[in-house]
Amino acid sequence: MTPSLPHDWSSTVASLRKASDGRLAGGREALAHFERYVNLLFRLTVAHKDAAIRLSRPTANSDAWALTGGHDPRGGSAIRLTDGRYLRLVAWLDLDPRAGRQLRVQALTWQYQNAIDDDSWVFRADYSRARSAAANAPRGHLHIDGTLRHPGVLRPKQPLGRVHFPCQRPTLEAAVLLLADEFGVPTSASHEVWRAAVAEHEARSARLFDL
Amino acid sequence: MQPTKTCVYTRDEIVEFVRFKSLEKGHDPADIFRNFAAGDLRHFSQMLEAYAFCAMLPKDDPVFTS
Repeated sequence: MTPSLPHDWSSTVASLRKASDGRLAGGREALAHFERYVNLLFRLTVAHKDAAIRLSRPTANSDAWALTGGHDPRGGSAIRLTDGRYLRLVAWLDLDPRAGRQLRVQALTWQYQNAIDDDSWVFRADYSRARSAAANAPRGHLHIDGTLRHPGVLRPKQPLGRVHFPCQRPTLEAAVLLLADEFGVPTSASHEVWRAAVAEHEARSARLFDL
Repeated sequence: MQPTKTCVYTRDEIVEFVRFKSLEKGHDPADIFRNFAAGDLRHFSQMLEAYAFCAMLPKDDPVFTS
């Protein structure tokens, strides 16, 4: 029996680089490049082989699109991970008319879940470019579902899960790093391959939050 | 990872989708449309997909005022 050769990720890494460039080039094509980038990033790292994402857009001429986990619009928005858990992902994207129709993230949420339903969440990152007058939360923040060892630290009746830990730009690369490095979610490509890709593109992804 | 699926929606399908997502999470769809129009993205994480769909509609769409 011939041992199987290790998977060659070079074409995936090259495609990822091309998609990364394309999403920053602006125009409607940038949205398709962003979708491609997300698909390849997760393929290279923590996505299960059956994981899926979908891109939703209107027939009318609109610059707002949505990228979510899963293929079924009436289902959930979770991406199946290699550890059997899920990452719920919703991204609201648009093209900035004031900046040469550059792609930008309007709002984003990603949430690590023990099961496919929302109630089993472990941690979640939220980002919203727009801030309502009533909202005190940092524009980008992280929630953790858990309990503190020391009583009386939080205000009465405030669970830890409602605390907003500031995190300026919750990129998808940050989600991958957190899942793989801290939660031990297995990656498809080797450590060297996927970490080099994440390092190459994370700062560029952060620009989508800054525009 | 499977190939990405692209879903294209008409105006009426967008409105119906927001209604579906609102009711699924126990919210009145009219509140979700109204909140979005006011820039108040409450129940943010739970309702973000619905808000993204609201953003696909013209700002003067009648659904935001009815």
